[in-house]
Amino acid sequence: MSRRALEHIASEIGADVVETSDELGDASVTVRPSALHRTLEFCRDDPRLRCDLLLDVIGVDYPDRAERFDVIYSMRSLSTGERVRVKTRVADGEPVSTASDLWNSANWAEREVYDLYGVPFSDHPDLRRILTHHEFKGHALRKDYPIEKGQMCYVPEKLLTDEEIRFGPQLYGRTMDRSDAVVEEEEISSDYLTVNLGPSHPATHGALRIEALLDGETIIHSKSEIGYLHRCFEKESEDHTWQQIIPYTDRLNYVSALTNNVGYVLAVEKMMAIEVPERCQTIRVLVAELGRIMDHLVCVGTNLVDIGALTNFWYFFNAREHLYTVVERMCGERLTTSYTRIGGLYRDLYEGFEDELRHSLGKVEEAIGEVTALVQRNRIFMDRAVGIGAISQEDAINWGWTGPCLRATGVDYDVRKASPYGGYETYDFDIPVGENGDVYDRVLCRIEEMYQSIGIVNQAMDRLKPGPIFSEDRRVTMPPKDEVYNSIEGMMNHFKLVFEGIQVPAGEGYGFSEGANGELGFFIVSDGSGNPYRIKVRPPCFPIFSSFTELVKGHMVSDAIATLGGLNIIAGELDR
Amino acid sequence: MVKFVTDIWDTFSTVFKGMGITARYMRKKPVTQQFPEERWALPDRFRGFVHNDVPRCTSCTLCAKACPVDCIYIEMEGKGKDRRMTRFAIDYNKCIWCSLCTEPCPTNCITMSHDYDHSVYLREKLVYEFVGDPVIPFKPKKAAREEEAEA
Repeated sequence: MSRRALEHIASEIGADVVETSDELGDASVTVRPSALHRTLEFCRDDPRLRCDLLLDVIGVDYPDRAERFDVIYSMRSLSTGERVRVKTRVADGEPVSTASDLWNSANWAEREVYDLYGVPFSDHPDLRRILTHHEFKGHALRKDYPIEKGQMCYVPEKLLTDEEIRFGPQLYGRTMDRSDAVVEEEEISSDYLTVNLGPSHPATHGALRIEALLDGETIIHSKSEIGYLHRCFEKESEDHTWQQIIPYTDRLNYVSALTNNVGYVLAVEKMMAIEVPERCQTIRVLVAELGRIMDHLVCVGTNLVDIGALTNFWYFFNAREHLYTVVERMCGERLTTSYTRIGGLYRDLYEGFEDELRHSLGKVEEAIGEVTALVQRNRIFMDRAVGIGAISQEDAINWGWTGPCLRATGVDYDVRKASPYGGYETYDFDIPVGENGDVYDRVLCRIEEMYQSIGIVNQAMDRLKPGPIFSEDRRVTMPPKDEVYNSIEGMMNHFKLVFEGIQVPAGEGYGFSEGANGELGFFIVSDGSGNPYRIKVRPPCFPIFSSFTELVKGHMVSDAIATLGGLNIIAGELDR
Repeated sequence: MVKFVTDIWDTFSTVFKGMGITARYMRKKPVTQQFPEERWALPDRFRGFVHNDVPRCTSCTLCAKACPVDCIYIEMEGKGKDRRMTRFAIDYNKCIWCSLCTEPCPTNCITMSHDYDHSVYLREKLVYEFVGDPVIPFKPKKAAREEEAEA
């Protein structure tokens, strides 16, 4: 299928195509920089391809090459299920034509490439740094930027420019009701108020900053700043072995660490073509769904707190506590689980796991039932949630939304069904979809998804059969201890796996899974050594949060808080 | 008009429904624990402070290599028969309790213990030294032979 997509692109773009490949089933085409915009537009509009979802823009640095940077646009078609990557190679300082006129999601994604690699995008509407501070010198993900080099940056960025504050109302289609009076310029701005929200505000659920221009209580314009929790995940992973990255994936979406663990190892195993035993696969599905339930419990609970319904938060956190007890007994930690390993799992399930989990799931179901009864038809909640932060299907796709937020608009895109991985095709579950894409639909979608996830967990528990949890593949799995002691091969294998790390074959690939917030992708470039050459995470809430300015325009400040809670922005994953 | 009436009905009925659920909770026991006085039972796999059983340590440095945050310091001197381990320290300022160090250990001497509340005022005190005087690293084959001889 990807062959055919490549043929379509090659026939349209012609001589500007440098190279094509369909490694690991994804169509990947390299074009000259001059033909990039044309290729992207063709991929989006051609009825045979229809790549309507721009997932990510990825930069890769090859310092030894004349055309130093790869800029990769990763797309997916919602109708055909095709994944297409369009790549271009540019020299240092050579501009790339922006795709933000084709997809809104390209706006922030390109800013990230500009920030971390220094690739300029021509005609980009708002080319500023995004993850690092605006005073930061150099570009952090370039290979010649030393990993231990720190910089001190002091002055906070002013988000709304003077022009936007002064003329904001006119710029954003509002006219002043004072046309008859002669008004001094200073006085114009005094009618409008800029309010800074965050970076450490309890309602932002993480370190984000929003600067809003208010007319009374209504938000006329706002801008958001992220990067307060930037921990250089991608730079760090280039310095670690593949196995050592697993604890770092816990800290991406720390609310559903298990789901991230599973997503990462699936991506690496896809690169290495490793088959894991059936028991391991079943347990992975099980824990990934547990992670999803816990994430939704937190998201819905905190969203309701923001709206003023504190009780629901306690009911859900009590239910989550029951799940965490099981998780703690399973892997020794509650939040930073590090449960999976490449080719297997940290430990097998413990004795009595199933009974305890069934008991805990019963408590969760009870809590969901209670919360549903409390809020579903509640007038106060409905008045706060219905029609707030609504977005249409087309806009949501254009902004690169995935996950429950996209499904709340009515698009039934779920990676687990659309392109099943890790055995999900054998489970029986439904994808709940909403109608209006507002806060109310998002909450109800998440609640229904929890019921579906509980169903999957129950199915997985019924399938658990005793068996090995580690793959037999000696490229990734440590040999048993007696082999290490008694044979020189076993010992060499053991030491090599630790000292040199797992050797992932050279190449590039995109591993995806359905995280709690949407499509969680790991784009991996390996040069065949023990450390990754490049890992790019596609965090689901990054494109979602980029649309926040549009979502809250014209709403009240309190509605902005309700919207923010419903989007489930996890700063650890947003900033990496 | 119909909507107006159903809205009013919804408003009142959901309030009573909600109060009903809340009232049920009033009869339940609290779920919180008074932490320092009451403690919960730690699970067997609990990942607390890393412990190294030095007499069984072969000083192979696999754990230091496996550590993603480089918090294990191992120093040795001498070669061959005179090899001595002079330092085995774990810096708990850095440790992330991931348990990656315990997996490659050939003698299972490095383990995750059940200790967790070791707050101190100075950062230096969180660097735990496991070796005082230089020790001879453990030799598994020799130990196995001695065991056989005893038997």
